[in-house]
Amino acid sequence: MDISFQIILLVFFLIYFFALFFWKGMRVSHFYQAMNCLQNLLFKIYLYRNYEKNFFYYEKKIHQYNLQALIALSWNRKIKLERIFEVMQSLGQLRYRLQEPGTLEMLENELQNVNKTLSKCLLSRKNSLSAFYESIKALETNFQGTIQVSSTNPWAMLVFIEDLYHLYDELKNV
Amino acid sequence: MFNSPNLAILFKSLLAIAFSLALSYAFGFKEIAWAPLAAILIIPAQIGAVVRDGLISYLLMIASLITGSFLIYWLSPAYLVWIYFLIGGLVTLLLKRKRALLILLVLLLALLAPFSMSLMVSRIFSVTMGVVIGILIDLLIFPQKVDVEFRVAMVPLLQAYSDYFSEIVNLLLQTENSVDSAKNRVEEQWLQMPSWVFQSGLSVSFQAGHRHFMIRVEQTGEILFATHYLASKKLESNVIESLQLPLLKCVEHVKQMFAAFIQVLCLKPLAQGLDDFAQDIETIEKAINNSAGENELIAFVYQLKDLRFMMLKMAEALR
Repeated sequence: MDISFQIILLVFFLIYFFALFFWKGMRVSHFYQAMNCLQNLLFKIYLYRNYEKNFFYYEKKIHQYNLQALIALSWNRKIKLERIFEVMQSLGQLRYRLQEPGTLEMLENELQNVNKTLSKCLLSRKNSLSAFYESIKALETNFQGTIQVSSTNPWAMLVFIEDLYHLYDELKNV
Repeated sequence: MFNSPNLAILFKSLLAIAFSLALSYAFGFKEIAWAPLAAILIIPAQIGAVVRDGLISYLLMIASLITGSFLIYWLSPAYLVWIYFLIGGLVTLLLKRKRALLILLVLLLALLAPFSMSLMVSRIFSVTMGVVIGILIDLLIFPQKVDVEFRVAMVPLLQAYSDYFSEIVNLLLQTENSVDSAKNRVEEQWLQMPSWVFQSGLSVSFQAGHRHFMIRVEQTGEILFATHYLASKKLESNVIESLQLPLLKCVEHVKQMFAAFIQVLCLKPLAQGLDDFAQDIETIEKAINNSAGENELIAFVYQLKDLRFMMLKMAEALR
């Protein structure tokens, strides 16, 4: 290979990587990836119930994912994406609203299912929406059927379930 | 002297280039560009952790330089291009932007000259000297005031929150509003948040309080975004009219609290006592309960309670 051609190729690669760095944060798919990471983390908090113990770790991660999503949002100003971001912020509020780990423990299977189906929805969009809806229904039925009666603060969970329905609506409309 | 941080960085970089060029000449290094290059790659270092950040960058530069020199020695030029492409892909995926660009740049420059042990050693000395100059200049000339940087970043964010909340209430009351532009301002300020309070390397006593305050500020932002979503649902409830007065009172109190936070962050004494808005929330809640309000409105009251809780936590962190 000619040495000058080699230099040109190397410089081209350098510019390519510079561009890649800036471009990869701007895509819409980057927004969905950040939202997926955020929801995975939130469900991890609800399933492991160790938010107080790892307060700074979780908050640092939430901060990072929020920023990633906002960078992608600033390049793709679409009302639907903004709404998804807002509902996702609302879903995160359960972490300091619900002080009864017992409620979350009893809903573990349903929460896991919601987490899985939501993840599929965010990564493959419309394909898994019905499964996501079913998983929210199952969570709602189980909560309203038994656990709601014993919970001291049922509204926190009810607002959370309502937010999941809102998210479903927003994802349906994208 | 320099009000803009960018001007200060430019001045520091020029000074670092001048110093390292002069010393490279004085020491008679074979290639004089390496010391200034290393110096400007160090500036600006992470706020509050200049030495630690500088040393990490130094180790990455030396590793890239040595790797590049030995790759030239071992491989034919045809392979080098693809090896560079491979390394570039990996660091772009795995590392932070600043570190990855530093590796890519140093590696590229190392690959552009034929291998010679004496050249490599001379480059290592040049880079070492450049890094020392960069760190010293960053530490001594216009040193970063971590506390000031933090407060300066927080004030516009809190102001944006205050405006955003009042626009959200206008949206809920279905009056004229500019909620979208207020939201955009909050989002812009979020991107300017001092994320460096989460990084390791800061003084522990500084980090604990400031990090806690920032987390509460961010959680307040989350509540505002969620409240905006609820308010954007077109509610046809008759209750809204009866909520107007207590909601506007609540906005006043929230604004007062944000103004008080801003005053504290600007190191100004508080002009007056603060009124809590617990009473306003209670009035709003009663009005909604009496009229069997919609779920969204009940959730809205929840958001107000959370907002109050978070503002009290912010006040606690400020003390």
